[in-house]
Amino acid sequence: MIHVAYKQGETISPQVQNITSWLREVGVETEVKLDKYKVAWAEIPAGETKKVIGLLKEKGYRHLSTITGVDLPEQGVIELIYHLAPVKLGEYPILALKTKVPRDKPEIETITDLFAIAIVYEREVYDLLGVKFIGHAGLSRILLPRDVPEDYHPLRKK
Amino acid sequence: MQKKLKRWAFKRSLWVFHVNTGGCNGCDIEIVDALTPKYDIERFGIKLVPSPRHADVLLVTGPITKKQADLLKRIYEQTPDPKFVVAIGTCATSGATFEGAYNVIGGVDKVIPVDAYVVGCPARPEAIIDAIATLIDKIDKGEVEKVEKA
Amino acid sequence: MGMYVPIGPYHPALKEPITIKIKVEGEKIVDADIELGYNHRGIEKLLESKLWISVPFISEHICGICSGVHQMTAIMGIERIFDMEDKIPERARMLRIVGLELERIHSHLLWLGVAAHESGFDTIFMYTWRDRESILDLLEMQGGRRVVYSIGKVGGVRRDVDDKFIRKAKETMNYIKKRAQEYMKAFEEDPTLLARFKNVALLPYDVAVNLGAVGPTARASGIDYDVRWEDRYFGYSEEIGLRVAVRKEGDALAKALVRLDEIIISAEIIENVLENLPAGPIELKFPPLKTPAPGEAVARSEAPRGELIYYYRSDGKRTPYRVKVRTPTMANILSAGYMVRGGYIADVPVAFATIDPCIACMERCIIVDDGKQVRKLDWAKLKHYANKWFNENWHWIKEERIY
Repeated sequence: MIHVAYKQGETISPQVQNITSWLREVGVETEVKLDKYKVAWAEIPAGETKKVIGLLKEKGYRHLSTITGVDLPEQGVIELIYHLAPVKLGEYPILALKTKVPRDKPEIETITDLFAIAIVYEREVYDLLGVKFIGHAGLSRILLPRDVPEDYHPLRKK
Repeated sequence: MQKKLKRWAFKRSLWVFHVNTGGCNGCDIEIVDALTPKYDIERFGIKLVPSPRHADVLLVTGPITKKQADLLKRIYEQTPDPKFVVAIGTCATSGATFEGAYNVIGGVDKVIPVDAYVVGCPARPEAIIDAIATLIDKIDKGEVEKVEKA
Repeated sequence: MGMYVPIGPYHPALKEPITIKIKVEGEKIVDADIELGYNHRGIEKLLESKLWISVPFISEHICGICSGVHQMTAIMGIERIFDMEDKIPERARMLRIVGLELERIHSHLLWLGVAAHESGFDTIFMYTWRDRESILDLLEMQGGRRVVYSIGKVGGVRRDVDDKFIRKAKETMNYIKKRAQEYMKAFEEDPTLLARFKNVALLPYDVAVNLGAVGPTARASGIDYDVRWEDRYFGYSEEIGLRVAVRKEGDALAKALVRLDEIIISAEIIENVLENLPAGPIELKFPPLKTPAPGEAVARSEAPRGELIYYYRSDGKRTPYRVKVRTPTMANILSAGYMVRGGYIADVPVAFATIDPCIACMERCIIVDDGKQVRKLDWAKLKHYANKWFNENWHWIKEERIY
């Protein structure tokens, strides 16, 4: 395995340029930022997630660390962050891929057919934030008791 | 006579069942630690049993989460009389760290009656052994009422 | 014809309790389905109401076995939010590594004991837990408590170590290395353990990648991945003796051996770090009410059970806006389901134990025969059944597994 020490504050590195050009291939124009701590951040439109994550998986991002949901009532959106990490691609940074879904109709395509483990993570996000993943075979509550009200999602802000 | 027999029986063979109701694993490990060579709780005749139906004492660890309140009640009902409950750790005593979390009810005594509290985060094996030994002592002297009730 | 055996439900000790529903045909398991539930405390929401400085002290209560790594990862994320990670004194970083590696040793020893216990080999259980006490003594010396020890804090570590600690740690590490070699011999040579562990709970490389396995579970399947190696947080490097233990077989035996390898590696790291412990301050002053700039940060670390990831978002207030924690067991749940599949009912305790080092295995399991006959089995009975089954079928299972 190769370990690459990133220069501090460096935003453009060959790896990040590669990621940007991969995304451009599938028609997603976005800025990929590398922070000081070897985490690359990028934002993509909600409709493109599956295509983009599928491509990244082919390119070597074969591990989905988790899916985070953040409720942002001021903007009226719920932000989903897909944390991807490369397996056997030691020199690439971990990637936090952001996307936004509207708060009043939180729906997004599932990625369970790309990453099996997403079954668990998507259920967790559904349970705590109420984001519906379209195409997920068994989308139900995972952590909370089943008898809580349908619209109770504890991590929603008010 | 019966009373005396029960006291005598408890003194040398108290069987405990361990219930975790949402704890972090800290106290649970310390209970098992108390069984292993360094502390060796079995020299007091205390044995960890795998079913509440065999138990005399319930060792409850962790704050009570909403989903487990019913379960704990059921386990308590399954335990044959006379039975004793020991709340182990600060969480089981009062809810402690998780005070204010949306899925936590609080200490064990909000759901079932408790006979002894062991504080500490986590409670040390020495404290657990001490609590159970004190309980045995009290049963022996007849200070704990439940023996008479049963 | 098949029948369903729901095992579980609550795995009380961990944050993520598991129910495994297995479908069996005779003795063979044809399908397994995993369900979580029961033990959710809502700690992520709770953390949103805490000051930045107290977040690590709450987050270490997520898990009592790997409390240190939860705390350190929480601290790592907070230090990134406050943009102070590179200012942390060298001595503090090294003391954090000592704490984390001590914790890894104690966690792996605990797991070995549990795994041996599940296969009916209680001698090893008692031995490993006895050895584990020496590690707990060291952690108590370093942090002040045996299990939830709060070694770190935002800006550094809470306590310095003295010569007495260093001397005792070196002695203990020598002892632990010897013991680990001995356990390795037991696992590699003892026919009883081999029959219960070899070729059981197989997880091939491709499946492990696909199911997102992490930590020793993944490394036993040949995935050459360790966050300590990838991210080099706190100053992990080859210089302090970091190596990645990998085995290719993917069975329960490999998972045990990977953990034993890691115990030895961790002991070497502790020896090296304590040998060259840099002098200097152990903390950077951090005012309790300090507010960060709005922003977000991701922190990853290698917990004893695998990749642990924290996500923080700050909106410039005294408390975090959002904290997300993903614990390694969550990532290994599907792998556990896979490993159970295709095996025998008798292998379930061992297969389950390979990802899940929980001692509070008081779960109940109910066997339903085609909806007509209902039998109840608790974990102890299942284990008893497993051991009995192995005694009866010893002659052929031994040949199938070992030779």
